[in-house]
This record gives sequence, C-alpha cells and structure tokens, in this order.
Amino acid sequence: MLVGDMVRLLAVDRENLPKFLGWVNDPEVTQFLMVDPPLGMEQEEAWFEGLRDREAMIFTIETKEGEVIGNCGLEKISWKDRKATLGIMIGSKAHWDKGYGTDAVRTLLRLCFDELNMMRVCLICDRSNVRAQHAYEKCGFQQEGLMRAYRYKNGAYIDEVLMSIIRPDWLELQRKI
Amino acid sequence: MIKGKHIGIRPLQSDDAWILFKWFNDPKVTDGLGIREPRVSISLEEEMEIVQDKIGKRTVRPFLVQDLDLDVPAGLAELTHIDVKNASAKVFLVIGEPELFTDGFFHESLETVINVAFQTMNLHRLEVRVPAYNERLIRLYTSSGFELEGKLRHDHFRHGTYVDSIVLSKIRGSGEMS
Repeated sequence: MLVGDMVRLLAVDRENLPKFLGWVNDPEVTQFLMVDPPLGMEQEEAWFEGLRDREAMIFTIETKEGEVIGNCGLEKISWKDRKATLGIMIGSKAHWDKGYGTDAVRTLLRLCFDELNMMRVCLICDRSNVRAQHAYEKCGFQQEGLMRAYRYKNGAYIDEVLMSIIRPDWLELQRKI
Repeated sequence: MIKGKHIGIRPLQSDDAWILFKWFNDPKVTDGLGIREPRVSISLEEEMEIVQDKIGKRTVRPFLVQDLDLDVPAGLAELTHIDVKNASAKVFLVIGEPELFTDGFFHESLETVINVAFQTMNLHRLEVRVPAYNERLIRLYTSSGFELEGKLRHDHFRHGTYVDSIVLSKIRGSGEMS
C-alpha cells in the first residue's frame, strides 16, 4: 500500500471491478480518458487478468476514510530506459476538484522516483482537458509536445498534449519543498 | 556480435550446446570455478536443456565469447540473476579453451561484458563469486574495477575440504575503466 496525504493506493482487487466498470461506462467520467465504452464485465475481467502479464502497476485509489474513488498506475514500464507512462481515473464525481487526483499522482511520482529509480514519467492528456493539465503541472509535469489528431472520439479527431517529468525536475521540486 | 580488439561476444544459441558440453567436461576448465552443483560430468542432453532454459529466461543474458584472431569459440560470458528494478546482475565468465586463457584475453572479455551491462542494459551493480583459492580470478576481476565485498565461508566442498568464496562487486561509475 502507498500512502499519500489524502489517498491510499492499493493493488487492484477483483472486487473493485464492478465499480470500475460503472465508471468506464459513464460518459462524463470518460470524456477525456483513453477508454472506449461500452465495455462489459468480461472485458473488465480480461483487463484485470492481463495486468500481471504486462509491465504495468495499477492501483485502486481509496480515500483515507476507505472509500474507493478511482484507479491509477503506471503502464509501459521500461526498466532499461527507466521510464513509464502514468494514467489516472477519478471515477467518483463527488471527489472531483478536491485534490484527490493530484495527491494520487504525487504519490505515484514518489513511487517512481524514490522507489523505482525512474528517469522519466510521461502521460498524454486531451488538449481540451485544461483542468487536468493544470493539475499535472502542479505535480511537476511539463508540456513537451502536442500530438495532432492523435485519437478519434465522439466523431472527431482530437489533439493530445504530451507531458513529462524527469528525474532532475523531481529532485528540484523536492529541494524546494 | 559485439567486437573488441581480439574478442567478440554474441548471444548464445541452441547450437552452442556442444561446445559448452566440451568445456564443462574439461577439468582444466571447471576446476577453479567453484561450481557448487554436485555434477562431475554433464551429458550433451543436459547441456542442451540448460542452454534452452537460459535462452528463454529474461533474468539471464548468455553470450558466447569468440576469439576473433583464430575465429573460434573461446568461452561463455553470462549475466544472470538480472534484477531490472534494482538494476543489478551477477557475472559468470569462463574461458573454455585453456590455451587461450591469458590475462589479456580474460580482461578484454570481461570489459566487453561490463560494457554491455552498463552502457546497453543500463545496469548499476555487477556481482561475482570467485572461489577464494583462485587468486588469479580475484586479481583479474579486481583489475577491472571489482571490489572485495565479503567472504562466503565454507560455501562449497572441494578436494576433500570446505573452501571459501569471495564476493566482489562493481558499481557503475566507481573505480577506473568502464
């Protein structure tokens, strides 16, 4: 278990899946996410079964009160290059805009840099998702590129912002705190 | 093939089992290695299984050392126990042809493996176990920047008595070379 200021990150349990399924099928939750609903329970289970075979570390996000509010994690971990791609979903709308996501991202970054010795963590984010970009910047991410017409969603091609934080950025941030 | 001046290393292939079979049945080769397995001889079939197993494992990178001047296989160089999170591995280097086993030949082979480990695989720590009585090997590892780390007392039984092994390690960026 990883402990942040507001959240705890736990290994994904099979019993979390119905909740996750509800979120990934909620258009409001997935408006900016790289998931393509509709998804069924068997697909969700297949995703869960596949986790152990991938270079990935996925966690359930729980508040300190024990409420499951989302998930987050690292995908495409390359140990040789010491890098990974970060992803997060706060599924519980009651917990939006309250700093839970930011705390979860910071907790993941602490894992990446202090425990896994990563050199680089990157993510992509919809260009129109300015709220998320702002939150990632607060955590130390910098925008490093714009990927035009990167994915197709709701009848249109959309641009994606590429963001990253590298080890020197993280160490600099820690020095300032 | 990754080439140095006189030696090259290339990934071990299934076809190489026969040459390992020859080397690991030669007491001149195996005597000073501090092998712990209760094996005095190895069959070709066993050797083939071992090679297959190594090639399929993500925690092992086996290489065949080639003598570039004579164009013959000369030894086995392995990184084993590869731990990607902590960026560490163990080194196992054997020159299988005793008449080719000069200090210079071993040194160049070892430097090539160290280079692959640090510059290509991005590893941080290399460890090796050498039998305490094999002063030549200890000297050779030390001259490539390996440092003495500890002694495994009586860690194997040989020629009628328990003998010690020495553990040496090399940390990337410390010491001279590489």
